[in-house]
Amino acid sequence: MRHSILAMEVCMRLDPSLRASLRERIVTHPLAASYQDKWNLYMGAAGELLPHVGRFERGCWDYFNDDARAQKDFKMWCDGMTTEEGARVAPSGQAGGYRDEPRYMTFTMAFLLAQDTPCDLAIRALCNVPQTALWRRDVFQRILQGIGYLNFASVKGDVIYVIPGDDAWGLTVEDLTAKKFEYLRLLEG
Amino acid sequence: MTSTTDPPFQRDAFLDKPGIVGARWWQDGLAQSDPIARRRALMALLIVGGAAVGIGGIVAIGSAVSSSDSDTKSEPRPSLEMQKQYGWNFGATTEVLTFDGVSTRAFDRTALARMSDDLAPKSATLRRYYVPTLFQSPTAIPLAVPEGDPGTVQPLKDALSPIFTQAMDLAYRRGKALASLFDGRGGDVAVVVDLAGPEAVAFAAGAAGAFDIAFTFDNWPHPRGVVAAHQTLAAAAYFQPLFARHYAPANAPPMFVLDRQRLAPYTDAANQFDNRHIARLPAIADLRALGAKHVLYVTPLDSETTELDDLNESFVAYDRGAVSVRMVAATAFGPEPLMPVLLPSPGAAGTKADAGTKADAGTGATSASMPGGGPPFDLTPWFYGSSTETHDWFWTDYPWATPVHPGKHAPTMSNAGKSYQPRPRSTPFSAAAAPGARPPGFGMTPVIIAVGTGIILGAAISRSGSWNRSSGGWGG
Repeated sequence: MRHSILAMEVCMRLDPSLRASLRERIVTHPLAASYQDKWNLYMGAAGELLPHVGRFERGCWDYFNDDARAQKDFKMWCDGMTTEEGARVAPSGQAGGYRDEPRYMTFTMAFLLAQDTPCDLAIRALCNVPQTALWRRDVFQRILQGIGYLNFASVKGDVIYVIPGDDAWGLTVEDLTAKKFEYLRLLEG
Repeated sequence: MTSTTDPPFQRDAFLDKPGIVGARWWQDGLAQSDPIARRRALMALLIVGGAAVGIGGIVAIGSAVSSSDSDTKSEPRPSLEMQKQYGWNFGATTEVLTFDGVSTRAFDRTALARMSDDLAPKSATLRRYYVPTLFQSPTAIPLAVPEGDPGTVQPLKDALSPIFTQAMDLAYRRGKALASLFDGRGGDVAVVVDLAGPEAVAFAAGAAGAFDIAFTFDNWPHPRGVVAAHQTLAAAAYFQPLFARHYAPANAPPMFVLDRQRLAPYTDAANQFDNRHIARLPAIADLRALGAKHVLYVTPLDSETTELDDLNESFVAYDRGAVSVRMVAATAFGPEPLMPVLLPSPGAAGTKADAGTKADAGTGATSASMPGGGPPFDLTPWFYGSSTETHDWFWTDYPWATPVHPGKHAPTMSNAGKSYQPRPRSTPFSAAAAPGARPPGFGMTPVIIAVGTGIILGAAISRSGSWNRSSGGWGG
């Protein structure tokens, strides 16, 4: 079986309520999940993120229907969670305070799809975006709105994570300027 | 390995730490499906459906056809509706139209936007029976892109080339011959022209001096269309300047123009697009309201002994309603066998015309377009029975009017059509409960639908990228 990949990561100012809600969805999701469970998870997450699209500051998304690249990239996105590469190793403190330095959160999801299935074709069409529009917020919005096209019968694997897991561990501006986050581009529009 | 009753996704990684919270799930049991093989299986099923074609075409294609993992299903949808939604070349955006007899005369492509107006009947009363569907296609814009087949749709107006073929030339002359008989006579006769699309258009163009024309082409062209509607459209584009200038005489009798290919055999759902349609003629009461007491049904050849299936009920109703219906072959009109044809053909002025039957074989006189556009430039009149002496005998064979100069003798050709009378018979169209209803599957095309979302992914016939895309990607 050949594969395609859809992945998205967005970065915005830490919103404790949103972060807590997304975390809750992840930790309470069943260890053994049905197609409907999976669909509900991502529809719910997308539904919570969509009102915040205007606050997305950085982001990255990919769709590839090249089998080798899909598998390699899916592993990379998974590694971003399992190696805790993007997470801080120490708390950064609550936002606010004397210097009022902002804190950031990221939300990431990635799907390894069975290639050329109707689900893959629908996602492919969804992601058929002109080169000049790749970094626009409304494109991220479009993809979030199209998450419902996912048919999990055609999804081989999925990964979802939120940084940070605790409000006191939010990412700083300095964190985001590190090389490991350089794939997150400033968004337009 | 999970059993079939276990939830398919199993979590194999999980983190809930202050720095990050996340999880990963795998569906190890995801079937090792090969979408290409599945696609082939789907097409094979459709071909099997095609083998079951009856006289009315494929019946209820694939409502139960589904792929092996139930991701998709194939359902028939109205072809015209799909074309209006997704483009005239739905499922074949990379394929081109082929035109026979392309005209080399100057062509104003922008005029295609006015086509449905230029070819409309002049009488407001007749306009309600005009079907402009075909003439609206050149400038139509798709409303959506199929999710699984995001090809670019070239506007039909940019793919269209006017045509003028030998057969159109003959049909134009025949239409003109018929019109000459109706000059001030036959006001209570409605003519129904049922010729192959381009010839039907040309016949109407020839007859436009005496009739008000109502075209009834209720389909759109398609690169794989079972009906070559693009040829009909291209013929209409050729004659558009003539129709735009044409002013029917007051109280001109109506001429309803049909495409005889509308019921063409449809046998291969895997490769053909079903753009067939049925004739739409006025009901008996409406026909009477137009002042018609007689119907003249024009067919290609005298060997035709009955009307096409979709006309039977209408014609029988006309006949029962005291509107007589008779048939005439277009080949009943031809040139004087020995009369020279005065044609300004380059280097060969004064070519001799052949008799109708030989001309039909493609050896008739050539003609040239009128300078600046318009119909063929030809001073040679054609006649009923191919003779000036038999021309007005038409009104003897069809005694619906009195000619100024009665024909001197009857034509020598056979003419069974003058004795034709419609008889009720069973057809694929007569079984329908409602008049004008279609047999199951008629004018439908199978589309691929995603079961999970219900969205239409594309046409089942599509090979333009939906199922065979090359590797690529997008990312932001």
